[in-house]
Amino acid sequence: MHIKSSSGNLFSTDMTGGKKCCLATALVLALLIGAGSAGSALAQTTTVVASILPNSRSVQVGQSATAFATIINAGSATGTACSIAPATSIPATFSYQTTDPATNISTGTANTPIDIAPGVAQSFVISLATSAAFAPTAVAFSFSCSNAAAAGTIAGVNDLLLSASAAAVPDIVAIAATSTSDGTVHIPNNNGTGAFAVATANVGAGDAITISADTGAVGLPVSLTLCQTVPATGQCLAAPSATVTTTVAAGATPTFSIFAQGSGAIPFAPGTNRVFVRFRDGANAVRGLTSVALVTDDPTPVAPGPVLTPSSTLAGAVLTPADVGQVISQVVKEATARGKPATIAVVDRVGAVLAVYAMNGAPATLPVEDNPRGANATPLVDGLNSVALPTAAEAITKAITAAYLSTSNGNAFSTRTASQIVQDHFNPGTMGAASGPLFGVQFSQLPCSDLSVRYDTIADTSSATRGPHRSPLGLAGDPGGFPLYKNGELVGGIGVKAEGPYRVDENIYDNDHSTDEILALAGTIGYDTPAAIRADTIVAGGITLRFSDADTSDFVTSPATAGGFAAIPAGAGSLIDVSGYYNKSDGLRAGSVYGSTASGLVQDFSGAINSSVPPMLLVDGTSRVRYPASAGAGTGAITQAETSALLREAYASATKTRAQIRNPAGSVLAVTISVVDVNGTVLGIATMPDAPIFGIDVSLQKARTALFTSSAYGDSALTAAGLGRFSTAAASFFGKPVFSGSVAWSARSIGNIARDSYPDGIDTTPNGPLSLSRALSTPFSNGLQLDLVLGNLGQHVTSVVTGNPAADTPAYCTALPAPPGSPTGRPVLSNGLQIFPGGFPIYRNGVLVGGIGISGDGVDQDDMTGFLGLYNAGQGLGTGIGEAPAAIRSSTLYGNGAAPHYVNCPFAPYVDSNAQNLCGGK
Amino acid sequence: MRARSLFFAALSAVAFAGTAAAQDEFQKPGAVIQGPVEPQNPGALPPPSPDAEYREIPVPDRVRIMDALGVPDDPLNPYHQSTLKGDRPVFDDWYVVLGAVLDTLYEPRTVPVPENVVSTNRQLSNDQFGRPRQTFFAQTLIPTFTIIKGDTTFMPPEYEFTVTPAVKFTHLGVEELGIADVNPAKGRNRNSGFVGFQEAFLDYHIRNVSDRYDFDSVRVGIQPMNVDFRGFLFQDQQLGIRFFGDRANNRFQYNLAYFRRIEKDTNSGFNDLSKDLRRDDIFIANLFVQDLPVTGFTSEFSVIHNRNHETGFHYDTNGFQVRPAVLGFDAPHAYDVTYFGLNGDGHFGRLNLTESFYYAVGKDSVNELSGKKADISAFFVALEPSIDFDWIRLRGSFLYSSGDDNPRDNTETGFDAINENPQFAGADSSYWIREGIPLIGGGGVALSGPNSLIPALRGSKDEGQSNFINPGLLLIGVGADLDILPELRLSLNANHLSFDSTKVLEQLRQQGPIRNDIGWDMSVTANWRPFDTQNMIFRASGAVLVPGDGFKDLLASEASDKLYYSVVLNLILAY
Repeated sequence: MHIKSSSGNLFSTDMTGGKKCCLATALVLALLIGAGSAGSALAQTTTVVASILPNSRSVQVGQSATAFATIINAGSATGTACSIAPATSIPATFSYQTTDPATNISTGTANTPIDIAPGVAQSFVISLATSAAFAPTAVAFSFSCSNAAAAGTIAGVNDLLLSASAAAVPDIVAIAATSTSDGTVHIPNNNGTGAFAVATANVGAGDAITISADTGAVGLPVSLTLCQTVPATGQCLAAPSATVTTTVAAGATPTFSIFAQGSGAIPFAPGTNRVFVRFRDGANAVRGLTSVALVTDDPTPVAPGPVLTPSSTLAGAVLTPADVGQVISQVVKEATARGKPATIAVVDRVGAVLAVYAMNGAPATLPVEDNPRGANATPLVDGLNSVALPTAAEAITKAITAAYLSTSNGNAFSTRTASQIVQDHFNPGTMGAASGPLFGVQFSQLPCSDLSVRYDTIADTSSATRGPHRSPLGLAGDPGGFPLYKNGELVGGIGVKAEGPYRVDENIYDNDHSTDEILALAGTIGYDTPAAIRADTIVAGGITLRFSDADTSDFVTSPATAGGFAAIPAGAGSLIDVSGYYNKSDGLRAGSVYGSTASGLVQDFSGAINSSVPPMLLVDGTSRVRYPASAGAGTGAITQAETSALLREAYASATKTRAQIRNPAGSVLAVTISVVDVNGTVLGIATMPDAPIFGIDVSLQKARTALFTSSAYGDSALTAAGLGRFSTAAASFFGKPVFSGSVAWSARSIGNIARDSYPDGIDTTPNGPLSLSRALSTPFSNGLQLDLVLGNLGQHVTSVVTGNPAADTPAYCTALPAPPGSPTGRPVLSNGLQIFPGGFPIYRNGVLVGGIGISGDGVDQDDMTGFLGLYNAGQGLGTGIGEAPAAIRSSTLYGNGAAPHYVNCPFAPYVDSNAQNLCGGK
Repeated sequence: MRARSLFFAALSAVAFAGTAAAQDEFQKPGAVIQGPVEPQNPGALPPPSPDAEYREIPVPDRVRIMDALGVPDDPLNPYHQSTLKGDRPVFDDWYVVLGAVLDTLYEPRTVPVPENVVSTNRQLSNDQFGRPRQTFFAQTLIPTFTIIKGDTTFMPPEYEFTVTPAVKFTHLGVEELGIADVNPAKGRNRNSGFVGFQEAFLDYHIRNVSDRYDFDSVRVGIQPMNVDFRGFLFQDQQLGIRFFGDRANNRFQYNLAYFRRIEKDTNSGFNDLSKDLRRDDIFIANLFVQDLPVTGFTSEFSVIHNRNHETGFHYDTNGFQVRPAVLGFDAPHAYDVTYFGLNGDGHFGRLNLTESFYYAVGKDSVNELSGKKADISAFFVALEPSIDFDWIRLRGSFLYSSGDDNPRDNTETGFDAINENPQFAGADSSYWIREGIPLIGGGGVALSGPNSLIPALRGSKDEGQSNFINPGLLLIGVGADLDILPELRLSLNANHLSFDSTKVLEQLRQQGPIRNDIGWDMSVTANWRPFDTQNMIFRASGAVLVPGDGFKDLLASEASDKLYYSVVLNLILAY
């Protein structure tokens, strides 16, 4: 649970120009869900947390010091008779009163306890009328309800440094803002530099003020410097230094930047690991104070990874700025002729946005389709359905989807392909058949993912190109996203959004004449998908995948003759900024060569994991491996040698496994393998050459999903995040709590119970406990998976809409509390839950120690690679590492007359033998 | 059916009478006319002199002679004269024929089956293939009611009304979920009962066209139809209108027929009249010519057109999608296909021969692997030579059904029948023919449907559409029928099976290469007729499939995949 320090109005800015009222409403609701609401009030007790803003006041005796306080009910029951009282004795009279956070105007009656609904953040104004002089004192408060223990006091968060003086003194009201808007400053890669801004207003007397930053009572491996800044631009007035002394007149509002240069791992512990900025007057008394939490982005104390040297013969095809312009020009020509102004996004293979172009008249937002079943019962359970989203985000998402699901040598998928494999039946619209094999993949590559790279060139210049990048809306099933190829090599993707709702294709048997798709196809001319690997030549489970309803006969122009970017008629449109993805000032950008340091994926020829098919590893901007094979945290944790063995064995199995989605038939698959420790911390990631990029994030999601649901803290974490209704539903479904450590869940089993019918595909049966009912469930609203990250998505979309990177979602997903004792302080599901097969919990002698996840090919292939990788590694190691004990696997549970599957390995799995049935009995 | 045998008995009686009475008029072309035939019956009583005096005793009519002789009507004994068996009219020249068949079948077998994809009933069952054992039991009662008008002894009846309801109870027990029903929560057993109508027709004798009762008739309603000698293309009881008759003393027989297919009940295979008729029409024109090219061999020339415009979705009783087949694009499609057939049955000297050749040509609105429309061009050939040595008949079997070696092009070259029910190479004793084998992991289709030879990859044999992108089949086999006792026949069959082309399988399974060898199918059948009649038949058969490399590439079982077996115990009681 991160703590919001703001009690102000999050949505006062005009965001869309269009359907802003609806969008704002939906987003508010989304955020509320994200903060944890909508649970049935089963428990009698609840949990509250609190904050105060500002954190310091200095007044004259007789005056009142006021501040705003917020109590958030983080539990699942209504907090009754919630109140605030000072816990530190000072000569002052205390009062409190509720406020309207939109206006900061008092509401209700002073000093009257109030009920707070679950998930609600109630704002207050507090006032301390001083009656005698006292030196700066940290005043603690008791924020409590009759059915909730008092929120713990956190220095710099919910206490108030208060002084009363005989004469007027400076009274610096200081507010800190971080780029992630979560009250936390993130230091990239342990040794990078994080920054945050502090805005001040001196509401007291003028004086010379000395500003300094420190980490309070704890020593942290960080070097802090600061500067006064130009308020309008944020630029330093002087080089940053340890302290800054400046004269602050009464009423002045100077601003400052504080830089934190990391020199080691700092776990996420917002209660203790903080940076305090103090404002001292000429008498060295602290007259202003603010603070932020401090964390390094790679908080596990691991040895730095090796630096990889990209292959000297690396000469992959790449999108040049001219190519990007050409693609856009082709779309603009066709769109102009059709009178359908469009928003166009081009990305490279690892998701770097190379350009976003909006034609004049293109809609700024287009809504997600309504729930096609018309349920739409309440917005709370309708997820993203009907929500207006920025078309730029939709276009980027579509481009990334096509680029991420495709490969150079095996398969080329479009967003229409994605649509076919994420719905309630495969094929959509039929009966009896189980859900699409990648049901849930739409909620991967999330904007809050801790794995994905964010475009933030201030924090890290390499982030402009380095992938895998996040996607604003996950993955898209809205037709109008295609991969782009040059010389038969995958170089990126194009996404177009011009009209109609952002949707999936519910009827794959007709031609829906999608304008988006026709326009996107126009962009691919000259960058055509090789026919031999197109989705419509690939068969999964006997069913041919779809690629495009549009074909070149649909064009009303000849896109190939459009000419380059310069040929676009003046006034047709322009490049646009998309906060967090693309700055138009960059112009048309070049993609990076897959396998280069710039792409963030470099092949490891060391043979440490595999020498016959050297894996690609994720690297930072200096080509240093981001996730070298590491040891986990805690007693009995996975050792470095065990991580290496797990990666090696899974990889070895993968290199001979028959692909389900690659042509020609009989090819070897290409997947990504992720291993995590018991806290969800990444211990190692290896991705095979030409593996689809989406599998990197998804494999980690699967590993963490298996871990989280198998852990002892699953149920309690869900409850703490306001999602206890899913925990309760699952317990009711199976007759006992099932996310409390007594059941070992595979990602496949979790998927089974996260479908809108159980058993999956049987329309007449009730939904699985992690899903919404069949009437309510859609690819845009599917129950726990979305609800875990709906708040994050709401924050992110807000930041995109408002163009405010500071409002963006933090770089980890969900409002789940971190596992007890986790050194990272991060939620396990820091890149979201995944609900299709390919993840397994790892046990040592029956004790849960981690998870392994695989993604990138057919779900059965993913499943087998993870299952046998774990099994074989365990057999070879002899250290007790291995599969979950059979007796506690999820396949022992019966709900609604059926037990979920734990693992299902494919037919004819290996290309080098005709062995069958490799997983039985293991 | 009893009604048909009566009918054919009447025809042959007529034919015999004609041959004896006017031999030269009906002498076969080219045959040398012999002199008068000398009796070859030394010691027999001489025939009465033409001049002998006769004493005439009036009798009521021919059907009551037995009464006069003191043999009473016995409705329970079909071998006595029986009013219920059409031996005596019930009114004027209206006859009633009743019949009933009670068929009891018990069939333990092993078949490769998928482990259900979403649910399991066993821990550590972690692969695609489940346990193969199954038990099938069926109890069938088929009563027949027929009313005939006409002097049935001497000429074809003028009218015939027949109604054959059929009642069937089946039990299927399997080891895996999602087999008996699409919903795995429904468990591993299925009991099902159904009443269908297998016959309900009116037969009207339009006219006789010669003194030998060559005739034209029309039959309207649900009626049996088999368009060739061995049920290779279409054998079924379906709703239609059929004109038929013969010429030249039965040496030419013809059929002109139109059928619109009735939906079948999934578990009984019976006609389900509660559902709309299928949008599937069959037009049949055929001509049988006796003694072509040689005496003792009958040739059939046929043109059959199948127009299928079933462009909706159809699910079977157990919830599985059967139309369109879950195969490739899974797209509803229509096809029009014409079969040109040349079939023959008879003997060349001592060599018995049955042959069948079909060429199929037509158009398919969607090739399910290319997603585009396609032409159909496929063929089928089957030969069964046999020769008799006393009580032993030795048989050879050869069959080739063309496969599609380029399933994504615009010509579909896999042969498929309309509704086959092959009496060939061991027929329903053969493992491959008898059992439905699912193409696990390759869509919701059967590699080979029940009672079929062609690996047609259909969603369902009874309810699905024909599929002309299939791997085809090459069968080479030998067999023997041993009449060990008059009551006991033993049949032995050994067939080697292979696919013609596995390209379509490789694409459906995204697997390659898949080899051609299906394996050896070996069976033995004992038919015991304790009373030398068809009224009680006990059949026991056992078959094994020894999988070849291609089969092993495709399918396996959790317990053992050394071989698959099928055992049939069948008792048929007929009245």
